[in-house]
Amino acid sequence: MERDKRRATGFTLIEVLIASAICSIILVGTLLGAISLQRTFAASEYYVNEQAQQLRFLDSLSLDLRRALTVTQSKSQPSLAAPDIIELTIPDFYTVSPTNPSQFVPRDPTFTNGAAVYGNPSQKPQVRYFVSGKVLYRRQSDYATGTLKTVQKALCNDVQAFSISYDSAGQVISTSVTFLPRYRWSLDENAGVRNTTKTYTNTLLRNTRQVSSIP
Amino acid sequence: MKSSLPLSLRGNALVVALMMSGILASMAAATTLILQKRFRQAHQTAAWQEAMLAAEAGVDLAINELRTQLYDPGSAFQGWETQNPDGSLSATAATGLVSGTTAYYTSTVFLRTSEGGQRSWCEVQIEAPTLLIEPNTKEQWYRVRSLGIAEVPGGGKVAGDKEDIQLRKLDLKYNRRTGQSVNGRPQATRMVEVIVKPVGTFRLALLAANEINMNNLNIVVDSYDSRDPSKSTNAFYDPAKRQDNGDIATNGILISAGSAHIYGDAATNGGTVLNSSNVTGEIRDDFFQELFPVTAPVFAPEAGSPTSALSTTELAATPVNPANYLLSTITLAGSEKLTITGAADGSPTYATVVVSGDIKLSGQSQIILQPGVNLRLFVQGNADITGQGVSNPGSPLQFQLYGCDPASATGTPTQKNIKVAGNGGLRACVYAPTYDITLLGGGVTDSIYGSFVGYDIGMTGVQSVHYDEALGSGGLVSDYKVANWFEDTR
Repeated sequence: MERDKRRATGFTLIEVLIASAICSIILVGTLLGAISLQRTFAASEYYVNEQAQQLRFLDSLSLDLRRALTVTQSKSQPSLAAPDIIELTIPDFYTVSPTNPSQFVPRDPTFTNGAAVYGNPSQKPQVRYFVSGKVLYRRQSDYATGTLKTVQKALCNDVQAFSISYDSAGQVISTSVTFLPRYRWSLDENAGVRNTTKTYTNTLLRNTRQVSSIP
Repeated sequence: MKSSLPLSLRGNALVVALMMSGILASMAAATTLILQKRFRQAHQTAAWQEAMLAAEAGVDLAINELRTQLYDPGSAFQGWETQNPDGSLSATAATGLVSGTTAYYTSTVFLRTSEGGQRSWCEVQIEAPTLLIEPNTKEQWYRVRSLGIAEVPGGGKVAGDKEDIQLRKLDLKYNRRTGQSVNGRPQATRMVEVIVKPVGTFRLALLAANEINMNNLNIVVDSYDSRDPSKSTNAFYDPAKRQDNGDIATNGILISAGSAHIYGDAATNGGTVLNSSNVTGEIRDDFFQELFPVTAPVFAPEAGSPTSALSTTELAATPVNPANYLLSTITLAGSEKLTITGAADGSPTYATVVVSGDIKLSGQSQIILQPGVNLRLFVQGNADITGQGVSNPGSPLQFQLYGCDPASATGTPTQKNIKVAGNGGLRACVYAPTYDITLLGGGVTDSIYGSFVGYDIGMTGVQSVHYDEALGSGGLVSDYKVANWFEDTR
């Protein structure tokens, strides 16, 4: 009977308070750890996202540079220290399919002044890369449908700056793009955790190789 | 072991343990899914880029076959197939593509053994359409379409954002070009179309297989472009419009520039350019250019034409198709002339002369090209065109001299010689990679115009060499290069 009585009694108040305090400490520690893990995970994910965006931009620009006929850069504002617009012309390669007007097909080149030229030399498609706010856009204007058509797409966010330079007598374009990662739970947006990341790539302009004097 | 918990509480512990395990498993699964997506995206991006490498390798394969036609015709297009008019495929002839036909080739599969370990290959076609016959030179240009294919690891699942998917088109389930299933092997494919143009033999002002010697005078080498009024005057050299594409190069290791003023690049094959202080362009040591041997064309000579030129002789050039002459020798002395007559109005006429022996001009003798005449002169012996040299009132391309040496085409040259006098401003193009070429001038005021390719090249009494940039698209075809490049992103 005595034994059953002891078993039926609960914890003393002291025991409960001590247990609660210990549990609270453990819970707070666990919570803080979990929050820290979440922030680290989110930061890592944002960083990976930024890298994916950098790669997307460089892949897109490299694709256009490879087939470019001309490459120029300019400033959207004269007061800017560095150019923030890259403009290319590419061959007028596509035309509307004669059998399916919703599709484009390659056109045959024709000879003009000793060169093989696609389409109308005065209507070369133009591709422009530019930054507005922190968003980097690609805009293409062409006459593939017979009339001027412009398509603009946002490629990536959080772009701080990008620039190109010419190497090897203008045949190689070196591109750099600087991203400023955005961390959702960073208390201070200007804190050191938001260090910029810069990526470089070099692209040979395939259509200007013939400019080279020594083969 | 006997539990101290009452029976009614034992099940709760199990439930709590299962719940905790479930929560942990869910977190692990969510993390794995996110990581897997990122890994998949990285592999898909890598495969997409790998496909471009494969496509460009296909372009290289195609151009290599075209080049092989020039240097080793018996080995060209091995393993390639040509489509017949009935649609069937048969082995492509090594003699090359006929206009209007297309050759196909699928490369061997390259297996990467590093991370991913995926396969890549290319499918190439070379097309010789009649629409790519250059209207002025009548030369065939080629269209190469190369499809690079790289298999994508990670299964046929979409990864990346919408922008990534629009940029990097992948065939995860179906081949988007053919509509056929990829049979569980997702792939990245990229198509490159290039237009390949033939390149003539006269791409540089001076090109030697062995050595260039410019020590004799303070020589000037520069360029002009007879096609461009801003770079020439009436299609002729104008010192006020001098250009800096007067390049000189050697497959050997030595250029003795002799402080010559080279308005262009100077390049050797791992060698040096001596006294190069006045070279305005690049000085490079990574140069090599294949120099194909020239064989004289085989033809039946014009009926009743002379078999040699041992005194004053006239040979008539004809419009459109060249008149063909086969001479055993040209030996002129005193005031004897060999005149290639053209049209009275100076319109373009053409002649091909093959000399199986030597050419020797002395005294006041001369080879004269009348206005509009285009002469290709093939010599199989030595050529000493001194005397009064060659009178060519037109472009340097209108007098092309080829040194033939089939016996030593791929071996040691037999050191034949070509001497050309530059009296009065020689306009000529000489291609004789197994010959020593000596350019002779009248002294400090003498200039020559054209392009010269030989084994050793030396100059005596020549003040300047002016290279016409238009020569790069003339002469016999010696190479091919990419004229247009485009990636088809459909």
